[in-house]
Amino acid sequence: VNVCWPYLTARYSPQGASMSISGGATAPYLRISTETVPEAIVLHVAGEVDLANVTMLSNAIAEAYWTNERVIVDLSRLDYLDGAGVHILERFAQRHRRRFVVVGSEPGVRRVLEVLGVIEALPVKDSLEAAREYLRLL
Amino acid sequence: MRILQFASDSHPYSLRKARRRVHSALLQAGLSIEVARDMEVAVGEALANVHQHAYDGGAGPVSVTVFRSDGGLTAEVNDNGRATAAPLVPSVPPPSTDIRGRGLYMMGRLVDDVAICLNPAGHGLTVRMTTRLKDAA
Repeated sequence: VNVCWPYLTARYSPQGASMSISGGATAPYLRISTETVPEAIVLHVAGEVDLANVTMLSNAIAEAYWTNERVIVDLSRLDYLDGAGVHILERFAQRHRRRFVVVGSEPGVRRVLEVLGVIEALPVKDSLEAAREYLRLL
Repeated sequence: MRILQFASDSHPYSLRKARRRVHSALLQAGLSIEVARDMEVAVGEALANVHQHAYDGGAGPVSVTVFRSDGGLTAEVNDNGRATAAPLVPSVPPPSTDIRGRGLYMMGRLVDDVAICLNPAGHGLTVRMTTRLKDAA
């Protein structure tokens, strides 16, 4: 049984030609700045993380570990995080257990982290202060 | 009632614009910010899968339709890619070591129903995601 029948989407048919075309590329929309606090190096990540720029985030975190053994990834100014972005964070969290923490207070980003069930595992804290405290108490 | 329909491509740089279009069309149609955001993320993951799987990391054609019907909101993402069978939507999150399946799992959590169908042509997929609207007009 084809549960998608009838299709809503006009495909590449003559009628489809009347569809508006969403014109191509826009540059990766991601800004990462760093700050050093006594407990860690902080990466302030702003913009949107998706397939277009997820390697930028990955490289920035890897570089941060060259200069400091603890990293806080601050996503409080991030507007969008996709599943590939969460996967990168999970990988760093595994590799650097107890030396990695995420700040995730923005509601949309928080929602994605909750949906994937990684709040405890990363871990994710509500504020930069809470993240710093987490590292201090370890 | 059709809210939005457009054709795009699956280049990573095109994903943002496509999902933003869905988000703003839903807000314009009077839907809540939570519904708009969840559907934007679900469509975003569907588009990312089209890039990664349907066109093997390339840029191929994809179309998006958003439709409102009795008590529900539906978004459909259609590709013309290489798939010849529809994948299953996982009900548990994939392990952190596994890069695949995260998007499908997210879609299943963000909307009430995800149907994935092989297109009548014998290849390419249609992902149909439906959310029930509690106080539908």
